[in-house]
Order: sequence, then structure tokens, then C-alpha cells
Amino acid sequence: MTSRNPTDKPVGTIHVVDPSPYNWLYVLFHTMEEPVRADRAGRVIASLASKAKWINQTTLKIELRKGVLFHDGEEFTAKTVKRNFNELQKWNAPHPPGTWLNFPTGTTLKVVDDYTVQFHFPKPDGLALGKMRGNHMGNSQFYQSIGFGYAKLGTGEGHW
Amino acid sequence: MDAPGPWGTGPFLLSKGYSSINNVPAIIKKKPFEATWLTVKENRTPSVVLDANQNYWNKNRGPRLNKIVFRNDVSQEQALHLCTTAEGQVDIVTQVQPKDAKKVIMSSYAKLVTAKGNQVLAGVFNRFKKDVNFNDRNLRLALNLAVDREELVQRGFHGYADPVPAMTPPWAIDYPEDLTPRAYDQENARALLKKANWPEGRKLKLAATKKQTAIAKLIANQIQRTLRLRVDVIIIPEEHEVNWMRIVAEKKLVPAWDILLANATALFYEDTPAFFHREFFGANGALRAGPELPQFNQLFQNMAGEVDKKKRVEVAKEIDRYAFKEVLALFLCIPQSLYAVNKQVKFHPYRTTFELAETEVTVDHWSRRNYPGRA
Repeated sequence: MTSRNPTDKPVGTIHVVDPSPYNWLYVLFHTMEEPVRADRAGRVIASLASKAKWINQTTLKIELRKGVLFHDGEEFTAKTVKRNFNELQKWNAPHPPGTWLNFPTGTTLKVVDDYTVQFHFPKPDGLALGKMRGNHMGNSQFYQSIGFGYAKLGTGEGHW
Repeated sequence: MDAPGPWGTGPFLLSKGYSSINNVPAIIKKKPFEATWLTVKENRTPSVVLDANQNYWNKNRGPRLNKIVFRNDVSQEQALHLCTTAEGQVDIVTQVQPKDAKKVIMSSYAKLVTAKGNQVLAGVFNRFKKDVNFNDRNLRLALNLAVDREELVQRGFHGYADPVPAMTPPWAIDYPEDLTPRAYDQENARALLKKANWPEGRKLKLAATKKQTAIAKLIANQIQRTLRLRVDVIIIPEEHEVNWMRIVAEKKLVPAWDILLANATALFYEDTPAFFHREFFGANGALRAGPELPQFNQLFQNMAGEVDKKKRVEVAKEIDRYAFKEVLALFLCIPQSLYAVNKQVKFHPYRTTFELAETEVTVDHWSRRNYPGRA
């Protein structure tokens, strides 16, 4: 029996019990997004990025998806990516799996236009696109209020 | 995240509760700075409610459900009971243990959904040890040939695991097709142990977390039976797990164990060595238990520094071949992800994450049925 309703509006409620130690991350993945995500097979696919291209060995150009709104109505643009990048760079180890997910020290981000950014790496980083799965894009309100532990602990280090 | 709010662009809005973690660092190296995090506490509210983002940009994806409630007020055991014996209480239980799979299959209310897993299980060889030499390939190979992976999968995981030759599984983009898991080989295992000069009467110390107790005992029996070597199984007390893992990650002290059963998690099945091999063998690997491996480091740098994806896949295959040839770990398997799912829920699992944007429910689901008197 078909389950999707004719209007394609979300319907139904489910209750989930998830004892996984990654539950915090799965809640995050449902609510925040990143430039890339995983498909069912585990391949890297575009999410908030619409296109990514290495324009030379150390420059990765990311075109951003247009028409994406945060839950509070704020528009997702290159400025959002820049803000999130700057917040992330404040941390020594911003990702629970470890520093290997960091961009190399000296990485910079340039806003090209409202929907295009360029990452400049000090050396080629073939893992850069996959690492962006750890760049959860929060809106202005997020960083002005809770951030990743900012409000509760005064720092994001060690708390997600 | 510490509080609900309109923080993201995702298919759901966090409207009630939160799920967060507190971690402590383990410093792997000071220069260049390399560290990992170890979770010491999970902070979850009794329920975490996600409401559909009606304006989500990717309509093809979803959301298809109006509401998701993560329940943190019941144990996994209670959840499995509720999911398999009733409806309206629990629709999905993740991380179902293989021993419980049959209970789900026999249920009138729930079905078993399986997916290839994203955690490789392997034994870390303690190459820091002085009285036994795990830097000797003969010893590492002897132990690998002493493990019967078929029995491990069937008895240890009730069939819900996939053996891997080294660490990269066949479903990864960078799997080297020319590799197959090493077969159980008693005769060669014994001959190699002899070559490796294992000290007479020296017991092998196999450590594992409490969760891996049954698997550790099974492997210990196999090694004992095959190599005629006494094996002590050390189960790490749950309250000490973080300390034990910190010792491995920081590499300042020599751990007491010879082999530690451990796992690493993949966010993607691309660049697989970044998730698995690096963690076990790399310069910044939290599970490396021995001096750095210059050849591995070079291969890994070649992969990480390659921006051409096709070329990177080839180097990733080379890394897995190298790990296999050098027998860098006690290679075991990748346990499958098992879910108990209400029969009226259409859930299609991801291999490397748990996401429900595409999940939907039939018109016969408890949340959509029209009861007499219901508006």
C-alpha cells in the first residue's frame, strides 16, 4: 500500500530508541547540514554545496545551493559559510574524531560572490571535501545564543 | 547541541530536548599538534523531538514524516520488547544485538532491517612490548592464520558480520578486488609462531571492552586451540574504558595487553583508509600501539595529498594492500547494523549514518490510522 499522501506533505510520527554513542551527531545531521553528506552507500555527495571543483592543486571552489533557508528564515549564503569557517578555526580540535579532520593550518576561505567560496589550502588536501561533513552550518542565531557549548560551558572544546 | 531551536537548514527542526556529549582530549602528538576526543558523558533529555521542516529545500528527499521522537527514557532491552510486542511505543530500535535478531524476525509487529556496517573490528598488536615482538611479521601472520573468521561471523555474530581481508570492505569504492580474507590455517599458523620465537609458557593477553566479551572469548579459544598458547582475556571495566583508550592514544605508557580488540568508524566509504587504517596505524592514529610506520605514513600522505579522486582511489587500494601484506593488525570483520523496525514504517538504512529524512509510514501505521471518534 502506498504510504506517501497525495499532497506530499509530511505525515505520521515515529518513536526511535537509538543507544548509539553517535546519537548526538545523528540529531545534528537531521537538523543541521553540511556542504556534503553521505548517500546510502557511503559515497560523498553534494548537500549545501551544489558543485565542488579543484581549480588548482590547492584551491577548492565550492558553489553553494541557492534558495536554502534556515529554520528561522535566514538565507544560507557564502557569508554563512565564512562565519562557520571562522568559528571552526577558533578551535584546536573542532571534531570529535580528532585533529585529522582539521583543515591544514594556514587554510583560508575567500567569498567570491553570494553563492561561491574558495578554500585556499597551504598544501594539497585531497580529503578536504570529505572533511566538510564535519562543518555543520549554523545560522547567526545559533552562534549568538548557544553555539557548540559556548553558552553552557564558555567554550566549544570537547562539547558537541 | 545544548538546546532546541531553529539553528539549521536540515529536514527537521529540533523543537524539544537535546542530545550532546562531553569529551576529554587525548594528545597524540604535541608537534605538530594531534589529538582525539574521548566521550566521558552523554547528555540526553528524556525525549528529543524533531518536527518536519515544511520548507526544506530538497523535496525529493523529504521530510516525509511529520515528527520524530527520540526516546531516551527506556533501555534498549525495554525498547526492543516494546517494538516487537506492541505498536505506538517504539517504531525503530537501532544497534540490535545479533543474538536478538531472531526475536525481531519472529515478531508480528516488527521486521529486521540490516545494513552493511561502518565500524571495522580488528585486533591492535602492541608493538611497544619488549618481551614479545609484534614487530615480527611472522608473529602477526601466525595470529591471523589462527583465527577462523567464518566461525567468528557465524558464532560470534550469528551471521550478521562480513569478514574483511584487511580493513577496506568490498562495498567501499577503494576496495582492492585482488584481496580476499586469509583462510584459517592451523599448520602454517603453528609453524610461523615457532619462527617468531614466542617465549615458552608466555601467555597471550587479549583485551576487550565489556561489550566485546563474547567475541574476545571466542577469538581467545581459537588462538588457544590452534597455537596451543594460553590466552588471558582481559575485560576492561566500563568505568575505566576512557583511561585505557587514552593510554593507547597518547602512547606515553606501554599498555599491559598484547592485543586489543578495537573498532574505528567510517563517515564515508570513500577515502576509507582515512577512517580505518589511519586510526590503527597512522602517525595521528588513536589506536596505533607502536612506533610510527614510515612506509604507511608515506602512502597515507600520498593519498591525503592527491586531489584527483581517481588517483586517490588507487593509492587508497595500495594502502589496504600494504596493511594486508604486512599483516598490520589482527584483521577480523565488519559487524552489520541491525534495526528493529515497525512493519508499517518504511525505513531504508544508510551505511555510514542514521538518517530518517526519507523514512515514511504507511496509512496503516498507528500514527495515521483513523480510530473511531478520532477527528
